[in-house]
Amino acid sequence: MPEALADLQQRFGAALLDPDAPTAGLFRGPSQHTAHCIALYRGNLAANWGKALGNACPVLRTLVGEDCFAALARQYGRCHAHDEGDLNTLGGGFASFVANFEALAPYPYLGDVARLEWALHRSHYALDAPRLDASQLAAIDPARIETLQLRLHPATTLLTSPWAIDDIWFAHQPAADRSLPADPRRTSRMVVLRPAWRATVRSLAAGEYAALDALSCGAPLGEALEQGFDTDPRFDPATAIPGWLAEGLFAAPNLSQEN
Amino acid sequence: MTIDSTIHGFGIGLRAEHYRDFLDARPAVDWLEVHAENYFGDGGWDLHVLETLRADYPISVHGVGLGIGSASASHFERHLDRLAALAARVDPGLVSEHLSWASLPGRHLGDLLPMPLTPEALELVCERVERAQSRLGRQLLLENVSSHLRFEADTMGETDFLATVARRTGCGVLLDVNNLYVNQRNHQEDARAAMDALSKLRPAEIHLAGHLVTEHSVVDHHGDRVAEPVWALYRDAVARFGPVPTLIEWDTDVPPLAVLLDEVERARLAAASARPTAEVCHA
Repeated sequence: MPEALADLQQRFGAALLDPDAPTAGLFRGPSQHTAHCIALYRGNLAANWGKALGNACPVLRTLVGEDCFAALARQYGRCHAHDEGDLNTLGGGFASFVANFEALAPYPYLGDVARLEWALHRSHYALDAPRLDASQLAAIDPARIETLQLRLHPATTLLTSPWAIDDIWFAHQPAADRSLPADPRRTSRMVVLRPAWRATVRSLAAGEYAALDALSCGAPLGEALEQGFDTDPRFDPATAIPGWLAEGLFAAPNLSQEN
Repeated sequence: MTIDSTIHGFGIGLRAEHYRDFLDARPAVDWLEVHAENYFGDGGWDLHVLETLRADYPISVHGVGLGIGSASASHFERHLDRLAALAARVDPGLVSEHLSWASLPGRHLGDLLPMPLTPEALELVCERVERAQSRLGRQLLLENVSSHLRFEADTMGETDFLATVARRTGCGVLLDVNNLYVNQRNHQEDARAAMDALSKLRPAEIHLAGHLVTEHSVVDHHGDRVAEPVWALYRDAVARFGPVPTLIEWDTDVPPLAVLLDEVERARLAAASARPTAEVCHA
């Protein structure tokens, strides 16, 4: 009885994930040659993981260095059973993996850097849904404005961190106008957005973050603006709202649902 | 106005490094091929570029993640849905995948792993190709892959396997000439005999790429110009099969577009200089 296809693949796959897995009798040719070739495949796997994760997290890769990043990618790829044939989705659990990676414990902000970069990566591939613009907002009955519920655009994500990850990210951009913070211990609040095709980050003051966070949780506009003002009296809806619309932070209302 | 989707002549693999060149100048290539999974997002820049270029170039969609020969493939239907959605969006002239496997139960390995070439594998691949063609509503092309290893359990050659799948399912063959050469070097398999196995099936597409000779194995790394012995095999293929849509692929250390356009010109010249052989004649 010939060995079943599933078993042949299982044994090959096991050897790719574990250098000690036995492969006797599986392949043609001398065992030493087989070992070299399996190592080539194993290297390919790690290179593919490194490339996919490095593409999503270029700042983290710069921060930890190529060798450390390659080791992180190898470990993550082995530990994290990803069941999609699209490597662009491989990094869904990478930020929490980085945050809990023991050797990186002296740099506790790195997990949040990865979380920010993953949000940017997701924003890059997000749906090109129509955006709420000023004319649509102006067309809404003023009596209903207060109770209006807005939905964040699929390319928009809000983040907050106990670390200055916005400064860290900006310091690594080509036209860097911020330098790396001497002390990363500072609460940061930011929005990941994609005004045209390039996803980017904008730092938010506490009031603006509170208002956007309330909106993203489904609070009506009036209540969300109030929360922004309660958090920080300097929050000014008259400046914030036109800015949000210009940045396309919200999806256009689904008219059939609104009526 | 979008041009007809039919693929003929000489194309190159579209990579993000060259988006700007294509958007700015529409360089003269006959068609473009994209890796399907790079356009699996819901939207964004990559899809926007692809849809923009689709107006001026026929597109071939080339999947690398379906893992069609995986005994356990829990991702298969999801992946196929994405592929079908992309095909519906860009109306490609060709859709292709690889004769390879990729996943263990619950885990996709993200590579084009060589198939055990056994009767059981043949049944599975035929079933999967039929399923894919029915979901896509069109013919799928299947490509021969390069490999470092051959299974002890193999009972047939790769192109015999591919030819049988094509005959049974009606799928097309994407012949990667560089992969044939790499396998000739790695497994002492005669590349011309491998083409003989396809003699009655004219490939629907040919791939050309560079490889890397290492101490233990030749690696199909797509990071160099097409090597001279591969050009010779290509001329032989064109002599056997007649003109076949031909693609230049480059994935590692992607050079300026001019280098790829130069390779395309070489392919045109090589095809023009190929003489039909007596034993195979196609109208």
